[in-house]
Amino acid sequence: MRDLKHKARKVDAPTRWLRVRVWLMGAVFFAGLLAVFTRAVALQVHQNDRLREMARDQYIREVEIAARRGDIVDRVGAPLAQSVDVDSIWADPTELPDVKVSAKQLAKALNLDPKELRERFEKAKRFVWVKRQAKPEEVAKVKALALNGIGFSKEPRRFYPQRELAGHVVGIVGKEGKGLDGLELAFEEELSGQAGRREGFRDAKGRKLVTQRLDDDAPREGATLTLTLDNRIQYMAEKALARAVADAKATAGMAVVLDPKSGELLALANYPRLNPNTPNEAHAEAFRNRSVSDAFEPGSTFKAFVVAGALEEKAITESTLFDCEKGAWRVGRHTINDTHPQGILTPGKILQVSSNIGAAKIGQKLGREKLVDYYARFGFGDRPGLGLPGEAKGVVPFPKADISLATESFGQGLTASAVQIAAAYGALANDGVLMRPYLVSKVVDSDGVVVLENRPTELRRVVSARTAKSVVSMLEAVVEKEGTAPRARMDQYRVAGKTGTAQKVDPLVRGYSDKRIASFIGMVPAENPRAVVLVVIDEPKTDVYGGLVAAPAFKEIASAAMPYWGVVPSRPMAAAASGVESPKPLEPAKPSGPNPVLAAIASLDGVTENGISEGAVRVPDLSGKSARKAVTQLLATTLEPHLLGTGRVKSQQPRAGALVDKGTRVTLELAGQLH
Amino acid sequence: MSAALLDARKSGFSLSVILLELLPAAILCGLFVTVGIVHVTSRVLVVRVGYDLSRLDNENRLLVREQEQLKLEVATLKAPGRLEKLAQEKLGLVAPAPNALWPVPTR
Repeated sequence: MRDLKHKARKVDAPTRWLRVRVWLMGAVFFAGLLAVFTRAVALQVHQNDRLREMARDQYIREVEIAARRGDIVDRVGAPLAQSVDVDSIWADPTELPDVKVSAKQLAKALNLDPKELRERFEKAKRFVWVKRQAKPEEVAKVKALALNGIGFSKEPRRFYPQRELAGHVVGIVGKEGKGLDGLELAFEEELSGQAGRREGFRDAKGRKLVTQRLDDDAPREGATLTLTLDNRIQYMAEKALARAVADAKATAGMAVVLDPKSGELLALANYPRLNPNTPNEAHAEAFRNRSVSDAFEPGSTFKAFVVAGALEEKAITESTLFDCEKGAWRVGRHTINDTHPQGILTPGKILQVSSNIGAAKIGQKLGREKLVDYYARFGFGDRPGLGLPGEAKGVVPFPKADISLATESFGQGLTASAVQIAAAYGALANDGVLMRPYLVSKVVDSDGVVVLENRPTELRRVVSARTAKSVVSMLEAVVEKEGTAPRARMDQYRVAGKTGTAQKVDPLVRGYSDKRIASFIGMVPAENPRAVVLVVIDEPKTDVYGGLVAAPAFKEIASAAMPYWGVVPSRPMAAAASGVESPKPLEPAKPSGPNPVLAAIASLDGVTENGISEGAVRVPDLSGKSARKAVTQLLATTLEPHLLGTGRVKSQQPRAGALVDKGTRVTLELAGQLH
Repeated sequence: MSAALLDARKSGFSLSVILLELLPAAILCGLFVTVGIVHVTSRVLVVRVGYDLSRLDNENRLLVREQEQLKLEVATLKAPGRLEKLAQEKLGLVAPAPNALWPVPTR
């Protein structure tokens, strides 16, 4: 037993040492594990966010994708403004082989100043734009140089495919893609859309690997603006205006074409023209959208409103006689003159010969309050509300003095914009009802949801239908031989219009100068006006009268627009050809007797339906069809479908049966909108 | 045959009983291996689809860009001013005189 105890004691010593070693090793391992654990806590808990970001930066690539700016299109979908991605050229100066030589080579290829480019390279650290939104041929030249440190990135650039057409209305966009003028500025929020982000891994070979759904944070394309303008009418108006300004050696001009029944502006032309593709090359004067933002003294075109107001108030009748004082009439210490001395005239004759004295006397009969009230009712002194920047509202001061009452009666001493005048004449053409003029018919976002829609809006009845018809009838005499604007007369269509020749105020002399604003406004066809056309020529030099310098441009626009819309002529062909005037009842003209043209068409039966020119197609009737069927049918007819909403086709634009060019966009409104 | 199995035989256990005892573990191992293979395969497929998606997305963007450029080109070519110029210069056409066009009512 004692031996056993002894033996046990003998074994105990190394066992203890073993235990100590085990403990020691355990402690070492524990300490190691503790250190690892502490480090893990530090990395995973305390430095988690920082390290996560570092990791993301290293292997995750997040790319911001710029939203495509929405298009601006005319009423039939012809694009006026479009965005396309183009190459921008940048450089990393530290990578460039030789800054001086590279700058020289690049400047030569891109038509830049080599010294300025070199300075930019020297100032920058790792990134500098060489040329943003470069032309494809410039990009090709730079690529051919094969320089190290030169990169290319895509940036959206705004293009205006119709060049100057409606340039002032559409506006301009800066290099950063922000609207600076016109509709581009006014609808910046709707057009700009929303940029998207896309993230993904990039592997060792530089290949991208998508790690999220592609539509998670996709960019939202900007909304499409559909205007009421018709690019063909706009083109005709701009062409006629440019010709009129050149013929008259004038400084500027404006033309407005308006649908009096709806208030839609079909053309808004200005001269000098502006090409929004190259705004840097334009003179400062060319940027003004004169027809919207310029308020000017309109002159005699206002006489029609005075006559309308006086007739409506029964202050005068159509046969009331006024003494036009043989061309000179004293009002206080001022004398009012007529260009051509006149005797006793009826209101109709006063409008026909544009007598200032006659208009002033009608104004007197109407009275100060009523005169101002009627001008206000016709929309003067109020902004038309087109949404364009810098819209003028004009000023109609209360005529306290007798001379003010007289001058305001023939459109001097007050101001109005071209759009206001056109809209007011629209009220006369629309049986006395003033429609709100508008330019943007629809704003539709990328999902097809209609964000904004303007429809024809009746503002107020200004005068009775009878009064309006009576004034329009009087205005028809203006374009006859004895009137002030025989040059506006059309053989096929009856025209009702009024000339205006206003003196311009010279701010330096604080009085009227010898400069003039000549204008003509007409409605055609007079029996059922489809369009009101206003032409204003600023500071004409050859002649100063509206009937001489503006009326021909009116005729040119109306002569092109009427057949374009297929408006049936007011007069039979024989009468039109011989220049004989047909009777003037204010009823739509009905063809009487066999029309030679109709007979010719009838003899070619079937030709009208099938004789469509090669580039034109007829829009199919899609009402009630499913979206899929409608799209298939449109594509088969070589038309471009544009769907709004879901479900079945509720309405379509252009209408079924209309003749349009191949590739025209047909907008289909489907029952029920997308949400 | 290992000594342990021999010992087990000597003590009265047959080989089949032993294998039966090991079967659950083997199945479990097999299951783990299968799940592992499926998981890895699916990951590989996901990555491959990711690459395909990136490539197609890129291709789609290039095609959309090309389509936009073509639309712009069409719009530029169809601009009324250009068409009129071409009609006059290349085809010798002139704008019709005011009375030359006579619209007729649609029947």
